[in-house]
Amino acid sequence: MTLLSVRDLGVDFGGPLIVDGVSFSMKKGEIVALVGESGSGKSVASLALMGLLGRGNITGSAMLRLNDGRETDLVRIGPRERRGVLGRHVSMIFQDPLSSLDPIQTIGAQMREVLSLHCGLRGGKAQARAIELLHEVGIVDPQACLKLIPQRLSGGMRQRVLIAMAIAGEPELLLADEPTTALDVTVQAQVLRLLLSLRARSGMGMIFITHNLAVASSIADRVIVLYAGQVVEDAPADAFFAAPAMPYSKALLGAAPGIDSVFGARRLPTLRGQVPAPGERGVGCRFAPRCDAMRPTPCQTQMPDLLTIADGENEVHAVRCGRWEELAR
Amino acid sequence: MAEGMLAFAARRAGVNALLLLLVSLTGFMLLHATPGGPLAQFSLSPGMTSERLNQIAHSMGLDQPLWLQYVKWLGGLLKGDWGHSYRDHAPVLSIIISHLGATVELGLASLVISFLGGLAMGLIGALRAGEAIDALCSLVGVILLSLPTFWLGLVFIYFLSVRTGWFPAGGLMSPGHASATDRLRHLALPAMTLGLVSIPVWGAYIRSFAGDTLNQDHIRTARALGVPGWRIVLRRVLPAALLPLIPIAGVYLPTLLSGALVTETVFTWPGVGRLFLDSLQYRDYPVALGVLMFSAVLVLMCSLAAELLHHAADPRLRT
Repeated sequence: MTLLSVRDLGVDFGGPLIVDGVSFSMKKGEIVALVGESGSGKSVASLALMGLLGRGNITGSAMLRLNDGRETDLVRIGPRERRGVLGRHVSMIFQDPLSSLDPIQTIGAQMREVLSLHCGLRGGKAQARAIELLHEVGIVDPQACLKLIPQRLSGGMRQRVLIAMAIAGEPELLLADEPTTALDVTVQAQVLRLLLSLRARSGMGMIFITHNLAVASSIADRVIVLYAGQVVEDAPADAFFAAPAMPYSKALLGAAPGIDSVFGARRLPTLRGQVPAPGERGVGCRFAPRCDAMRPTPCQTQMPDLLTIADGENEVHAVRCGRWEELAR
Repeated sequence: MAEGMLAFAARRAGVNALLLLLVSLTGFMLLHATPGGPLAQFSLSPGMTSERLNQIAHSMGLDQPLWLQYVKWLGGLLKGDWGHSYRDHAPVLSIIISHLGATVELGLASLVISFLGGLAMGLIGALRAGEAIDALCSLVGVILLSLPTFWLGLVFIYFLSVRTGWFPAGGLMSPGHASATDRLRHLALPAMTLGLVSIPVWGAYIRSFAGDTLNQDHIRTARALGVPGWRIVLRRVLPAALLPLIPIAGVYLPTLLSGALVTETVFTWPGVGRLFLDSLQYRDYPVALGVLMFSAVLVLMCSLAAELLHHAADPRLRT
């Protein structure tokens, strides 16, 4: 069953589109990795869904199906209604756990606030639930943790606390914007495992925003690649990592350091050039200037559509490349 | 940690004692270096003979070497004997204390006005940063800040007292009937004068601190969790903006409590500021020196108190 259906999402800040016609849909309990370089529009798109951009024009729609069967459009809802949705149906965790908690309130005070807002719990009940939640996210001594201010916790523990606060309202959808980027590699793995186990327990869907393909491969059911504000590939994780169809995806995977590159067996390939600035995009494929498979036609003359190239039960695979068929041969 | 706090307080007490010593030395020397010196008040009296003058100097100990006078005065300060006024021979300390009530009353009233005004202005500016109302607040702030106190006081007196008769033009209370409303009516104009011009100072601090807080990641987290805006302001922005104001208030408060010279003069308000001006005018050296020392003690005590309070109020400092 579809949890979220994003159609033609566009964001601009008075100039060219930063997020340009992004469409995708995800099923209940699915973990979708939104992958892209800096400037691809992945964070802007997620903040637009949350209504946290603060400025800018947002177009398109994002229908979220709630557990009670109702549907709500995350692009259209008013601020009042949105407050009822955020934290309860959609939550978000962010990149920097060190600054994402209020430095002068105790963890307990911050958790009780969310619990009273979304679960109507106060006093002893809120305290008990807070302890339960912290336990669930793997905090060893929840009682002690509640009395501390964030400064006393490590980055990993703070991200766990933030996850506990995000799932307190038992949301259907969790947006995670590079939640492990600021953490040590070992802690990264723990947090990823935690998110997977939470999904297994609660059936919560997740949009996982990352530029790290290794992280994406360890958590995602599906991978959506953004380039210069557009979706350029949307594929099941297995298919994506086995046989990416878009030259950009191939280049990204090729540029990810693996064990052999670490030991110097081969020189790590790099992607030349950079993502075109929003005002400097040509009429053709936005990746064309950096693409090894580029041909003047059709690549520089026509913007390719996002084409569905496989459409099985769980196997929808779409790619935005004018030459994908030739390249696949 | 209690021990850390104690060591901190002890160290500060030592530094403060040294500072007070310096202030007393400087003040004493400055006043004795002024033309005329302490005897000017007497030497200018008609019919004064040099013989009589010597007698006065001797009786007040002014014929002794300066360093001995200083040491004696300093010893008196420590014992609570701050000397006696040249004018009416009353003890300096009790004169200051008798003027303190009026100053505290005016200072606190103006503080309430300026702080509440500044809080409103700062929060509006921070929450609506870049919008028209923010620009309006800044404009009003600049205007208030550039109003000279004496001029604003005179404008208030002219329009709200002389022309309309709504408020009394000066003084602490009407002679004879000292009801609470009468005192408040007397307090209104000087408190407004002193309060209004300080609104933009608080406003600027609060706008800046609140603005910084609003840009922090944890505000976005709270929004992402559906915390209503008013709650974010009340629980997160306001405490974060007020904490750094504590040490600033520690510097600002003594300037109020040691007397608002101009305002107290315009409104003939019998406070410490007026006392200082009067004592300078009459060359009443013991009183002038006393007010100086009193202000210095206030400044140091308030900043120490503010630091201790800041320490107690900010959980990040209690590690």
